[in-house]
Amino acid sequence: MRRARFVILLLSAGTRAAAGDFAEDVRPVLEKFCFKCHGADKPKGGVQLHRADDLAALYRAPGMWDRVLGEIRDEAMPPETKPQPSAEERQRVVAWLEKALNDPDPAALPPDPGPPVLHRLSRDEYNNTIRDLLGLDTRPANEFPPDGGGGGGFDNTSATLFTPPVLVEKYLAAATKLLAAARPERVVPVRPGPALAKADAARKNLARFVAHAFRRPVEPAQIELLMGLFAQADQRGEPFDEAVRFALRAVLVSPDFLFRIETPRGEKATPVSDWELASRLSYFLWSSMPDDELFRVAHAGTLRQPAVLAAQVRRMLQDPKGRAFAENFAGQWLRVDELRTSAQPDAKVFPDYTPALRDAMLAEPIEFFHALMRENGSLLRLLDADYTYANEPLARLYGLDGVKGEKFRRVALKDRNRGGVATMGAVLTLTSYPRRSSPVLRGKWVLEQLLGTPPPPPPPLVKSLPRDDQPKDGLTLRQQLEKHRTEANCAGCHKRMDPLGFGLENFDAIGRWRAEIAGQPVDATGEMVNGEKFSGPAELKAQLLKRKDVFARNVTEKMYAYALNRGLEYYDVPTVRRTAKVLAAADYRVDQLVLEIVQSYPFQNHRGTTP
Amino acid sequence: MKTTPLSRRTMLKGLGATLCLPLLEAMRLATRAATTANPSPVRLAVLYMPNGVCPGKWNPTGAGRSFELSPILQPLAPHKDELLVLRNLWNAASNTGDGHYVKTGGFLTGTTITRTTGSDLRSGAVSMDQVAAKRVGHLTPLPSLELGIDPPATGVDTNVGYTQLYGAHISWSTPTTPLAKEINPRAAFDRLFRSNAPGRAAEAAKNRSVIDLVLEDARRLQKRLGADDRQKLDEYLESVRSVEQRIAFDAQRQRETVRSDGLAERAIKDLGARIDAYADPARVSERKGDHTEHVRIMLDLMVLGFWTDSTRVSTFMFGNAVSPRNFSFLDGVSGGFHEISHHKNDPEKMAQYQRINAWHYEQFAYMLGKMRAIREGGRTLLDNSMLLFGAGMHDGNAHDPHKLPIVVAGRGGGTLATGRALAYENNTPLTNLYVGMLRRMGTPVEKFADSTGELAGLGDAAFSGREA
Repeated sequence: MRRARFVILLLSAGTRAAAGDFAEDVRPVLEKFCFKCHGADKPKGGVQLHRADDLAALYRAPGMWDRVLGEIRDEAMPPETKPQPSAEERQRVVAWLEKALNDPDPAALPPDPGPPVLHRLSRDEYNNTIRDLLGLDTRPANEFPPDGGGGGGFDNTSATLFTPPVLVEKYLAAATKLLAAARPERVVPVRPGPALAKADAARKNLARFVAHAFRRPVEPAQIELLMGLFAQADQRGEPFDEAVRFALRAVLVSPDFLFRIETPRGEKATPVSDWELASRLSYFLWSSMPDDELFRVAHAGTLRQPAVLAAQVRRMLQDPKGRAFAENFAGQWLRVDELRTSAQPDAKVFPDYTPALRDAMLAEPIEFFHALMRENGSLLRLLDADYTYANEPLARLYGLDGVKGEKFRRVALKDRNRGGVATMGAVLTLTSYPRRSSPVLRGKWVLEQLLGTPPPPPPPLVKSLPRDDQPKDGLTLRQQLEKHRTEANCAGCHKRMDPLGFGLENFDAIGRWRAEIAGQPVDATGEMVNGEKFSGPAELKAQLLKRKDVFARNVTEKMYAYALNRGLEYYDVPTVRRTAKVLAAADYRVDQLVLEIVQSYPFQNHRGTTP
Repeated sequence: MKTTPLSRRTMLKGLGATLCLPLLEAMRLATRAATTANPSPVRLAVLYMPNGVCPGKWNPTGAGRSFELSPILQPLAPHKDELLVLRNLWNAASNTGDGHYVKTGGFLTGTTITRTTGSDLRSGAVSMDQVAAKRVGHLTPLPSLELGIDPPATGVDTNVGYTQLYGAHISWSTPTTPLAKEINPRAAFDRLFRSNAPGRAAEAAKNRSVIDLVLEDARRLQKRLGADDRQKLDEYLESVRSVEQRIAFDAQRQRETVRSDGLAERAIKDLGARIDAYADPARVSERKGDHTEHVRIMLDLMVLGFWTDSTRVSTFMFGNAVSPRNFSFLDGVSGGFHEISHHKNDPEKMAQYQRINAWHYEQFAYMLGKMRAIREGGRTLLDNSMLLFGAGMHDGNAHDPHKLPIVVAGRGGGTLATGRALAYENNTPLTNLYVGMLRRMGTPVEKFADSTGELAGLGDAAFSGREA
């Protein structure tokens, strides 16, 4: 608490010198034109601006202020029906917000890398770590309770990875089972012999295994503790091999294995240790423990050298283990996993939606992203591409010929309406209702997932829409939506959301191309908030490409949150903005973004003991 | 390990609720519940339904003993004498925030959850079931059993700015720690009954020494960490200790009286076979999205958990908050639960909403039937239990936390006078009911969140409500 106030003081001092004065130049305008609806009392859309009295408040909710900036700049706010600020007043607020958000004065923000990592391995991280440690690809954590996700929108957010009793029970049971299944050369490579006493051989095995499992050098005292367990089993008369495995059980339920634990090394913020950096890297790009090569570089103390770090990153992106990054980062960012949990197309209306098709839909964006990583392609291909990855069930859905079998391969797309993640079956299905597509949900998905500018929640008691796409009262679904948008309460957000979804109306609720809806030709025209018109998916994508910098900043923020295992804070803003700029200058190449992140201040440092 | 039923020390052990003043009342209830003639313990279950109920179709008519079940409650008709239908209770702390998450995460805490996207998850209190578990949990292998159907969704509901974690948990072991629920039937079954397997006792003893070592090692680690991190590791240590307790039970196996019941053994075997059949991939597509069997297996697990005294406290979530579950497998229903709950007074949608609600009570009725068929010391298992079935709102279209749909089944070891519908004054705290239930679990609670005393007339057959 005391620390927060200190930061605010510093910030206020810095701001006044840097960019106009918030209290004198900006706040009065907001007060006059915004607070009535966005103040303390029943704030519209949950957006409250009245508490902002300095720059620090801005950095506590940079995402919201970014939206505020957009709304004011686009003259979407205040609503037409309400009093309007003068052009000068509007310009003054926009200029101040733009400077504060897009080009913050680093001097105004005392550097803060965030807390040291204390992170319980997620289910996927546990599975992969066991695979690399024990050579067992049985994915035991699939039987563990699922992890929820936190602020960054990813299930690797440390703050929301809890350790309930049921999980510890599973860890213990899994440890016993896994160690019994592991091959001797993995867990007990050293045998006692004429020149090697039993206890010494056991100690060697334990020391070797523990260093791997804990992902760092281990103090001898910790090994001696484990030797106690070995001795117990030995006295029970268990064979050497069994006795070592018994001692290793304690390793697999130890907090040093189940958690990534970083130790602050000073009072002030310091660089993380080389071992900690190796784990940060491997859990970022592989969702698993470091391999021997990373351990070697960490041991040599050279991992932090930019050339070494860059070479390691490039190697890791090419490694097959990098698929975990595509699955966890891209999969969760694009929310495709909802296909497994919540999306439920009605079997009567869509009998073609089989488990095989669903699995193919789930795989497509992952295959696409994984290939992008390996080729070091441009991230803009996620917005539009002239190819995709498909197998037979998916190709059939898309109307593509000549793709046989379950195996995925790269397929050229001649029709430019298809291509890019927004036109993938998974996305189109998860943004539909069981019996019809939803332009609103699709528009919302584009705003939220691709552009990072989610609309606020709907007001209570919104009007109802039909559950299928049959015309009602003589109006098509689209016409009903348009009518809905004439209501002042709804217009603000729906004129941003709905047109994006209309552009995708040529795809039905499972992503199949259609020319007609309920006998009427599809109307896939739309108008962006700035008045530019488009028709159909191809033109919609061209519009999205015009907003590539908004998209790039969103991907950057998402990837930082994923890499740092936490939601972003205001002190991360300068780092994120800088990276987004570098990315734009580097043709949006994937490896450039990853490199910028791993070389960044928050990735390489952590807070000390005295905040 | 052995504790006297009302030791003052246990009572005061780190609970969010204010304990201990109405000692006499709790003693009286506990004594009545567990007389020498009926040594069976009282069990507590909470069943949570998402998305509320169809308005106008839930409220029973009449008061006290002479009441008629509503259309939604009709499936409970065979068990009418075992019920308390409670009207006009509400959860004041959830009358804020958003439509669903505050009404789910805070359902059993009576507090307002903190709006967060994940970094400061906080319900504000230990949930009612966990208060009970802290009281009686040490007497059974599992202090409590959390079951459900849906996995927690990843990420934030950006519509309202809450992490979806809140919508997936009603049980909180601390104000900041939600308890994960088991949704996999096989895993839940193994967890409950694996210790019946031969060779378990020896294995348990070995695991105990592993755990001891881990605890010792972790305590050393604690010293290296900062305050925040220490708290996080504390949570891990708490869990390790609870596993240690579980192992102690496994090793000692002194509770054979209940477990050696041949009927229970057969029921365990039968359920195991049903779970195998359920997990058979060939049957998945046959079910066509009908998850009734999944729900029933989980409810049967709860019943067996109580019967075998593997646990005395359990919660079950029919679905997470805002559940979009497609109920098209029911005749006359097409679409997702949440979507349909926003009926906008469209009669056709309301009929579907009502049908979905009734399906939930059909499952509850199934469970009650099972519990009534199990004999236990001259009573039924249901007689010795208290099952709270409820939702965090009434009409899902309005997200209204007033007039919550609350049913309690079972006689709490003879301390609840069932077979009545009771209407209370409007805005009577739901937590008053929690106070009453906790006291019947032997936990002498004076106040729980916003409670104003024990809910009137729970054990008084002559009481017929006090609606204004």
